[in-house]
Amino acid sequence: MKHLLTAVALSTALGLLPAARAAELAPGTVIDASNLSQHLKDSFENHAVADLLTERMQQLIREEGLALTLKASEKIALGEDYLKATRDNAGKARYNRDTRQVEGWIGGMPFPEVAADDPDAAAKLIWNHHYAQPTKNLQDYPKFAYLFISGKTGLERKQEWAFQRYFMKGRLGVEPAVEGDGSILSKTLLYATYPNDIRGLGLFTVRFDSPKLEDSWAYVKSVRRTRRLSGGTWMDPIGGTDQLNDDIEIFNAHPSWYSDFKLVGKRWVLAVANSTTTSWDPKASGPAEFPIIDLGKAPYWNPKDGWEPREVWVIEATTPPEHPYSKKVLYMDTQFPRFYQAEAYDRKGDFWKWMNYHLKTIRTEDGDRGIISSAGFTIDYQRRHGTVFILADSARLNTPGIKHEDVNLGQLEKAAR
Amino acid sequence: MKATCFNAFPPRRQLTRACLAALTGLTAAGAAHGADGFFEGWEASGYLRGHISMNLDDVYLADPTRDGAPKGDYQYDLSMVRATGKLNLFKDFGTSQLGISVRASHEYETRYLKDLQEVADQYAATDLFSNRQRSSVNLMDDVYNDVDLREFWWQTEVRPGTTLKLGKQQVVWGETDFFQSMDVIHGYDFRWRSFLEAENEELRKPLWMANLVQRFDSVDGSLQLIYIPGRMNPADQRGNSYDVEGGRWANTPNRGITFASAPFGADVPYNYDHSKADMDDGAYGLRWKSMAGQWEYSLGWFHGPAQVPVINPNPDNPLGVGDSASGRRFLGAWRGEYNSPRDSTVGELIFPVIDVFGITANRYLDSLDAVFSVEASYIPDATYNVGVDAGEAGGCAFFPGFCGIVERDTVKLMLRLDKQVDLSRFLGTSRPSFLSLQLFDTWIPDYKRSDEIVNLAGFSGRTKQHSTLLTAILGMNYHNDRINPTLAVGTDLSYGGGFVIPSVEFVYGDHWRIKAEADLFFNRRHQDRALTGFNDTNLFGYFAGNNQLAVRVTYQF
Repeated sequence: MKHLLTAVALSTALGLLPAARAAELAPGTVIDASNLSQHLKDSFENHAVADLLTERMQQLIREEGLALTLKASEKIALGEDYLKATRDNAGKARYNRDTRQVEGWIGGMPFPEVAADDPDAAAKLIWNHHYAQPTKNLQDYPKFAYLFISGKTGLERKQEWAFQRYFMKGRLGVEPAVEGDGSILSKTLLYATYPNDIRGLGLFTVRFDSPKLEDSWAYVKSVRRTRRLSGGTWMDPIGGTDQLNDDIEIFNAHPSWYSDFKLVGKRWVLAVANSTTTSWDPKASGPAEFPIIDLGKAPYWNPKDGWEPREVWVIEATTPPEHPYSKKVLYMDTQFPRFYQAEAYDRKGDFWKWMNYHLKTIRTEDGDRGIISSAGFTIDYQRRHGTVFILADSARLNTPGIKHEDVNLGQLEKAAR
Repeated sequence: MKATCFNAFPPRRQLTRACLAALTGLTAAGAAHGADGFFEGWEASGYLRGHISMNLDDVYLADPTRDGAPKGDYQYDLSMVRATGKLNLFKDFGTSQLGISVRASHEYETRYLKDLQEVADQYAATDLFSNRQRSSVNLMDDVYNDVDLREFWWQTEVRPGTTLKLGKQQVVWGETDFFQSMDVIHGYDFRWRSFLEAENEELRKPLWMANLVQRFDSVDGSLQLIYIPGRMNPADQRGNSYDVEGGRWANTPNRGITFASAPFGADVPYNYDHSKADMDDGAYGLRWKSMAGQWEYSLGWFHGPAQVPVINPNPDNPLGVGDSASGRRFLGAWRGEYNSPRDSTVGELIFPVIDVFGITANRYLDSLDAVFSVEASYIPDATYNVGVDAGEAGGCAFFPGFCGIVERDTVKLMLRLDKQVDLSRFLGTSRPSFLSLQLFDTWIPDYKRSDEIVNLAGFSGRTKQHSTLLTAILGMNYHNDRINPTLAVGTDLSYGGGFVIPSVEFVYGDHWRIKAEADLFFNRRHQDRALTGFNDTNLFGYFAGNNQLAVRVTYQF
C-alpha cells in the first residue's frame, strides 16, 4: 500500500510538471536505452527519431545495449563511371516476369528509376544490386577480419582473410564492358591468412550471369590440394561464422534463387552511410584494436560509429523452402543499390539475426569513387553469437595491373605458400 | 638427423649448392625490393605441438629370448610422447616470393619404445653372419627425433602467366584421400605416425625441384612441368617410408624387427642404387589441367620412383632359396641385378622407377547437390612381389613374396561423392556437415592367380584382381566451429577388416587447438607371432593391435 501511495504521489507530481517538448537533436547525441523513450519524440535533421528507427532497432537499443551516435548526414558521391554507364544504358534492360531474369543489361544500374507502384519494383531493386554494385570493376581487399563473438564472454577468436572480386561484365570506364564469352559475371578469390591452422585455406568462385549455381573450389593447404565444392552451399554458413554465404554484404545470391521479393515501401532510417570510426587499428591490442565495435561491454558486438538519416527501400525477400531463413527484410539506399541493414527470420517466423553494414566512400585506384563496407555485423540473437566483418585500410578498388586471368584457382596455391 | 641448409650433416655438396642457389635468388630479390631492407617485412607463423598416444591393445612384441613369445603387456602404455615445433617464414618481394619452413621434433622414450629398441637389438644380435650386438637403427635418433628443412623455395612470375618455383617444396596431384593414385610425386613418412595424421602435408616428404606452371588462359587451362634432380635429393626422401625399423607402426607382428638388421641375418636393407631403381636418377612429370563444360579435369604423367618399395630377393641368399612348395618358381634378382651383400642379406628394398599416367575429373551434380570426383591412374609394368607360401609351408626364401618380382600393368581407380548433409535437426550441429564417400580400387587387368602376387612382401595375403576399399568421412561442427567432431570409417571389401576413427577437435581462441581421437582397426586375420604362422594377412591385419587413443595439443602463432 505504501508503494502504491508513493507511485500515485509521484505520478501526480510529474503530471504537474510542464510536458516534455520535442527537440531537434544535435549531431553527437547518443541514443541508448536510457534515453530512447525520451528521444523518440525528438527529431534529427527534421526527421522524427521514432520514424528513423525500425522496430527492430528500437528493440535492440532497449534490450541489447545498442547505442547510436547521431552524425550529420553527408551527400554520397557515386563513381562517375558508374553514373555514366547508368545514364548511357538507361532503358536498355528489361525485367522478364516470366523467367524472373533481366535481359539487355550492359552496365550501370539496369533500373535507375524504380516506381514504388511498379509490381516488379522489388525484383528490379534486387537486380540493381546484383548487377550494378558501385564497387567498380575490382574489389581488392588484401586484409579483412572475421571476429567471432560470444554474447556472454566476448571475443572468442579472430580470423584474417584476403578477398578479390573481379567483375567480368558491366565493366565501368573501360572497353570492352564484357570480358570473356559473357557467361561469367564475376570471379572471386577468398583465402585465409590467419591463424595458422586455416592459413592457406581458400575459395575460388565463378559466378555466372545466369541462374546456374556457382562453380566453387576450395584449396586445402593441409593436404595441398584443391577440392571442388557443391554449388548448393550458397545458403550454408561460411565456416564457423554466423553468416551464410548468402549474407555476404547482406545479399549475395542470384535473384532468381529466391522465391519472391516484395516491396514493403520507402522510409528513412538511421544508417552508417559514411563510416568515420577507425575499423581496425593494427597498432593497438585488445578491444582497442577494433574501435568500430564495443568489445569491452556486453554483449560485446554492438557497433560504434556515426549514424545518419538515409532514405531506404524496404524489401521483403522470401527464401526458397530449403533455406534456413524464412525471409529477410532488407534496407537498401534509394540512391544506390547497397544494403545497410537486414533482419533474418527463422522458419517459424521468429526474429533470428540482425545484419548491419557500415558503408564508406573511398577513392579508387584509377581516381574515381567507390563504396566499400568498412564493417559488417551479423548477430545471431537466438544463439547469442555474432560475427563481425572488419575491413582493413588496405582495401582498394580497381587496383591497376590485375586482370581476370589473375583471379584464378592457381592463385590460391600461390597464396597458400 | 636429416641434412638441412642449417645443419648440413653429413655434408652434401648438391644440397649446399641448392641452398646457395636459393639464397642467391633470395638476395637478388631482396636487392630488388631494397626499400624496406632484406630483414624487414617477413611473415612468421608456425606452431608448437605435443602428441601423446596410448595403446588400447596389448600390442604384440616378440621376445627373442622366449622364442618370440609376447614380451610384455603394453595395453594402456604410452606409445608416443612427441614435441614438435614448426616455423614458417615468408616474404613477398613484389615480383617474387620466398618461403622457408623448418620443423623439429623430439620424443620422450617411453617404456614401450625402450622395449621395442631392446627387442630390435636382441634380434639383430642373433645374426648368423657377424658379431653385431645391436640394431642398425636407433629408433629415437634415426626415426623419431628429427630436424628438417621442410621447405625452402623461391617463386617468381617469369612473365605474365608463367610461374617458376624453385627449391624444396610440395606438389600434390590427384584427388584421392587416404590412398595414392596420382599423388605420386612425393613419398610419405609413415614411421612416426601412420596415415592417420589429418594434415598429410606433415607426413609428405618435400623434395628439391623445379616447378614451372604455364597458364593458357584462352582455353582456361594450365600446364605444369616438374623436374626433380635425383642427386640433389637424399635417397631416403623419395618413396614412402614404412616402419621397417621395428617401431610402433611396424606391421604386426614385426614390431621390434629391423629389416636392415633382421633376426638370424635375414637382413633386408635398402638399395638405392639398383640400375632400374636408382635414386640418383631424376624424376619428371607434366600435368595439364583445364575445364571441359561442367567438368574440371587433369591429365598427368610422372616418371620416377614408385611410392611403395618391393623386395628384390638375393639369388644367393645364405639362408637358402629355391622354388616354392606351391610350384611358384623362384625368379631371382629383379632384372638380374642385386647390389646388397650377397653373403649376409636375404633381399633388399628397392623403389623401381615407373611411369604413372593419370586422369582426374570432377563436377558438381545439381540433381544430388553433390560433387562427383573420379581419378584413374595407369601404371604399366607395376612391380609386385610374388610367392604366397613361406616358412614351414616351403616358400622360395622362407618369407612370403621372396620368390621375386613380377611386372603387371595396373589401374588404380577412385570414385568419390562429396555432399553437405544437414544433420542439425538430428545431431544439433550448427551447420550442414561434410560427408565424403570414396571407393578405391586397384585392378590388375592381366591378373593370374598362379602368379601368387602378395599384397605385401613378408605376408601371405594373395592379391586379387580387384582390391577395393570403401571409406567415408563425416565432419561435423558445433558452437561456431569451436567443437568439431569427425568420424572416419573404412572397410576393405576384398580382404576384410576396416577402421573407425572418431575424433574431435576443440578450438580455443586464436592459438590453442586440441584434438583427441581413437584409432580403431578391425581385421579378418592377422599373424599372431613373428617369423612363424604365416597366413593370409592383408591390409588391416598389418594394423592389428594398433588401436590407440591419441591427443594432440597445438599452440599456433
